[in-house]
Amino acid sequence: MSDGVRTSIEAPLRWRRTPVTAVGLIGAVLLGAAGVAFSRPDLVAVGIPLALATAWALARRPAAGILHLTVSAHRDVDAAQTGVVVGEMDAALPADWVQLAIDQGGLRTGLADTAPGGGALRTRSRLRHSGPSEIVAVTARGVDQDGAWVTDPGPRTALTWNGVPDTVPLQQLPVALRLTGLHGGHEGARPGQGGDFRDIHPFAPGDELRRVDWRATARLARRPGELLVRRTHALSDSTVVIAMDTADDLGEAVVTWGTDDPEHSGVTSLDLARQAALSIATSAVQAGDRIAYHVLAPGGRTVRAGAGARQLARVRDVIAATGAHGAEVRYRRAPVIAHGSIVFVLSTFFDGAAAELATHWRAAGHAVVAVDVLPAPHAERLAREQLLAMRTLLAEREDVFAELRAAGVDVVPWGIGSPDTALRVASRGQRRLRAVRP
Amino acid sequence: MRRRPHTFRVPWGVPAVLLRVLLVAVTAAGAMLLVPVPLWRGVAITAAVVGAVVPRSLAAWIGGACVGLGMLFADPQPAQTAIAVLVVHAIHVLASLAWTVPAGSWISLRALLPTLRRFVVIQLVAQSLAFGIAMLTSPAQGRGMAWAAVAAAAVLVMGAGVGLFALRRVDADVAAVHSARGGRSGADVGGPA
Repeated sequence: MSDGVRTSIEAPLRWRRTPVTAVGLIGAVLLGAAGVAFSRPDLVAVGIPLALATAWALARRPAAGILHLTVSAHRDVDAAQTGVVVGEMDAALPADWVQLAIDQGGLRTGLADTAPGGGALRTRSRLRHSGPSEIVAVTARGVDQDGAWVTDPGPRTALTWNGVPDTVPLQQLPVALRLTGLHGGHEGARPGQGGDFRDIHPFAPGDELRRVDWRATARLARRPGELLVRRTHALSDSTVVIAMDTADDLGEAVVTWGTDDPEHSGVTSLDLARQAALSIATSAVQAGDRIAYHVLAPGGRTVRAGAGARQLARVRDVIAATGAHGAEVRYRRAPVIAHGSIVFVLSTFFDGAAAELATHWRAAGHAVVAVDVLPAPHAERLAREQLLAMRTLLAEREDVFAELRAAGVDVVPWGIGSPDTALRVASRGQRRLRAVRP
Repeated sequence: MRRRPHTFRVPWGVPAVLLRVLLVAVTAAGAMLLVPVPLWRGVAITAAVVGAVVPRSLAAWIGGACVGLGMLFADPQPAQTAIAVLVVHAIHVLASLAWTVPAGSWISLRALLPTLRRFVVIQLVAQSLAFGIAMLTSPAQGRGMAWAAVAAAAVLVMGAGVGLFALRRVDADVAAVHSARGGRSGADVGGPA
């Protein structure tokens, strides 16, 4: 996410009169009539300002115009803590003042009556979660002539902020079982240049003369003129595919599961998924690997494989914009995975659909790592039935993980313990597998 | 205590409930200064409180009317008239603001500047007229001005008629003339859709 976002709307104004004018007229007539009836000119004088105010409101009725509302937000660089976003609203319309209804975090936080112009209102939000969130939404209407004229409320203008997750430094990532390409940071299976010693091989057309191992030739050559060359492994790159399952967004507090309560949910599974995705992507790019990113929801975003800092920036923006898709469907789209890739499937693995995909990819010969992004659940304030249901769900999940391990998929818990250690263990396992491959 | 995650700030803003407190205070002060009958004072203040709590009840204007009409119980004096012109107008403006601005809102003082400007201009005109009326109708000069009552009644009826006509015309015109059309944007060349 860039450091600032901005949205603006233009809406035509439709002015309407409030009862204030009529009440002013009635008051002026009443006082004037009483003054005439009781021969009290002072009462007539008291009614004069009401008559003047009413006449003013009727004569100077507001002209037609357009409401220009701009809402912008940027990161608060002065704040002591991170995750603080400052918003600002500019409202321009031909009226005495603008009445604003302000929603922050999806909830109405207040109303404000401000003069039109720049800096009409400033908001401040402390983000609890990464990913997309409606940081501020404003509905505006114009007021003129002390409330004698008001407009209908304009359209709701919402500003979404995509919070970039923080990253966990990862020393080592598992790589694909079959590495392809002739450049990169990992030792490949094919002969080439840059890697460690592979074997001693009879000289063949195409071999470079500087590769001739004279000692080995002197020791092992059987016939005159036979030359032996020293071959090394090629360095290959790995393609890291990150597949995020956005079906669930479950927080630490189990009591908030099934409710839309981001304030009390604690760290959620999608927070961890975004953090895991960005950490893996950063580590992979630093190792010189290619990264691809897929959201498994129907219609989810896809970033095709690429390498380098610009690809990482692109993936970071898409990760920050990834939220729960919300549809109650078990279907997940199955993106095509390129040959020689390692797939990281990020999911809570509750409904088994992501696990099914992971198993299919493993069966197709890809290296697959299942990253469990469910945060450590807190069971406070749960009823006995809810506690039982939670334990049943977690037990079913353990079965899913056992099946994944049996299928050759590494399971890495992200929310519990150190993900770096778990990934290093998985990496060692992958290396062992590569070593015994024919 | 947990800090609120979302806050907002209105530059030069004050809680709008102050307007309602001011409405009650102005009505109470006006009633105490201008109305000699305790019952009327009580009615005016009660109406102001009801109007401040439920502005849609129009009770704030009833309070203002009580203050104005309560002057009937005392002899007319120029100073009292000047205060009444100020207080009743202030009650009208504050009641109008209370009608429009919700109690929970924050209102910028800058937004109230046009209101204040209008209030001052109207007061300058109204106080001058009130002073002139007081001079013209003083016991020394007011004799032989019975025709003024008839003229005032005629002006009153005419003013009320003009006011009603203006209100109806405004209501009829406002949608057609004084609002921009919504819907299509950009150039409309009238071609096929």
